[in-house]
Amino acid sequence: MTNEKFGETFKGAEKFARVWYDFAASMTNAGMSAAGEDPPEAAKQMRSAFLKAMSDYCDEYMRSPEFLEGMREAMDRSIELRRELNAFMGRLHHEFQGTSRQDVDHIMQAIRHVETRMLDSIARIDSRFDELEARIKGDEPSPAAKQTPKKPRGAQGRKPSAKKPGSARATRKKAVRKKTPRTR
Amino acid sequence: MNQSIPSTDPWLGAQQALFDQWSDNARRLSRLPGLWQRAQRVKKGATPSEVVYEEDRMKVLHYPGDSPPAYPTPLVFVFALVNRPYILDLVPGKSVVEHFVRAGFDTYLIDWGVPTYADRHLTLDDYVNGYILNVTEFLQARSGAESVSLLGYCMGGAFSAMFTALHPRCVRNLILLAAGIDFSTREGLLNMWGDPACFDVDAFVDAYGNCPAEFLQAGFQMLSPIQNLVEKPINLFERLDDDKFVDEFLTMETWLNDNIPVPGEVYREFIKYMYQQNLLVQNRLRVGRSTVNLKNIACPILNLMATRDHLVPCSQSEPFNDLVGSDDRKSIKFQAGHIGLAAGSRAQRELWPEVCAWLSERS
Repeated sequence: MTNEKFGETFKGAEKFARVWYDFAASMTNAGMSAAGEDPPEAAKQMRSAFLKAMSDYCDEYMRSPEFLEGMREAMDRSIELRRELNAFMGRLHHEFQGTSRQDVDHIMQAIRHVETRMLDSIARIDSRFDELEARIKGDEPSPAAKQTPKKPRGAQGRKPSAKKPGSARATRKKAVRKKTPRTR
Repeated sequence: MNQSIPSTDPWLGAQQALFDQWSDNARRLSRLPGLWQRAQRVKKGATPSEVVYEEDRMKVLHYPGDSPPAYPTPLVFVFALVNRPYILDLVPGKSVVEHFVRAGFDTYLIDWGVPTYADRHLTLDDYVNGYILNVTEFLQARSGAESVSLLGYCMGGAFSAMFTALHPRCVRNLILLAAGIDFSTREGLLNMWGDPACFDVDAFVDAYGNCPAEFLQAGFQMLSPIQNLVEKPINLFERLDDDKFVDEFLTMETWLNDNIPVPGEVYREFIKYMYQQNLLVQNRLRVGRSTVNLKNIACPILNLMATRDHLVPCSQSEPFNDLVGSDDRKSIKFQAGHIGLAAGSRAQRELWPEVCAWLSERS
């Protein structure tokens, strides 16, 4: 147990020493190559060598299991804190007989469900309408219907620039208006 | 007497250089207080535009140009949800939009707007089969063209690919700009951080609703912390005398810090199905009730990648051309970063004229 701990500590210390050894080496190299130049210029070269080495180590560290584990823990805590805050704010609003964010969420979800059901029904009616139209025209599906069998909303067979009044997305708000040209 | 001069000269020179440096720094410091006011004056968007279509928070901007369009097929820019789209039209001379307008394309840009908490339930389906489809239908009706050309940037590139696969007849040409398609690679840090073992996206979205802009901003800054938090301020300080540099710096920083929240559900879907499960390249991604099959994409493809992109490495975009059903496909790997691909001076000189030429042959 003690040996394991010693090994871990030694590994950590070795890594730490390696980082500083590399920093020192890259800075010395940069300093040597800048010999003969003005001190500010040499300092700039040493600085950029240091920052480059540091940037490489940051990248390496941010890919390490230690960092990823730390990030996960931090995220979990942040999410937990936010949950508690949400619950507290919800209770607070309800105590004052107000509307909380969760209430709005529930209403929005209910609206989404109703919307989905309505769009599904419209898609079904649309599909039946197409079938009936095809039958009326000649007891056979029209060539267009043959090529693109009617699919629910979002299907790839949708005909461009010929939006049907009852098609799913026609129910969304669609306001087209022209304005005078402007510079943003 | 003469022999002593060479030994003292370097020492005097060094002292002189240090003194010059000190006086330069003092002069730069005196310019710092005015920076804030200059930052407030940064203009967002360079090319004259008009809003031609609005839906919910989304707006479609049209860039009329000085003369009528030379090509009948409209070109639509589809931007990501995480930032504002004016990076594509940053300043005169550094505007991707300007290139296309000058080349005679009927150019449009989708500005998704800033989502509020009420938009947290918007899904990929709403964006791909809703907004983008409605925009293309509107533009088809407006221009009389049978289809449009799409140019998708970053996340907008993934949206454009999904849309083209689901509605192939609406798209004549597809240009992807640093678009993440294959998330199996672990080259980028975001891919590692988005791993399900590190990030519970369901719990995150359930707790926060929308993905906060500050969270995204912190994530992007952390991709290169030394560069963003140390080198960048030092560079700015050292070049405070250079007005052109300062203006460009402030314009870019204004955009970089202009993050917007991402609607919760679409963020959940994008992280879960793209980053974590990588369903798009397996042709298993469900958008609404349809499954996206990239083989359906038969139009000409131009895939633009940045070799120094730390956000979307080339390995994420490169496989796209092998996954589509198109015969006319081309990739360009350009030496730039994620933003430099759109706003860099070299990209303006070399890349975009080539892209304009490619598109003009197919429009």
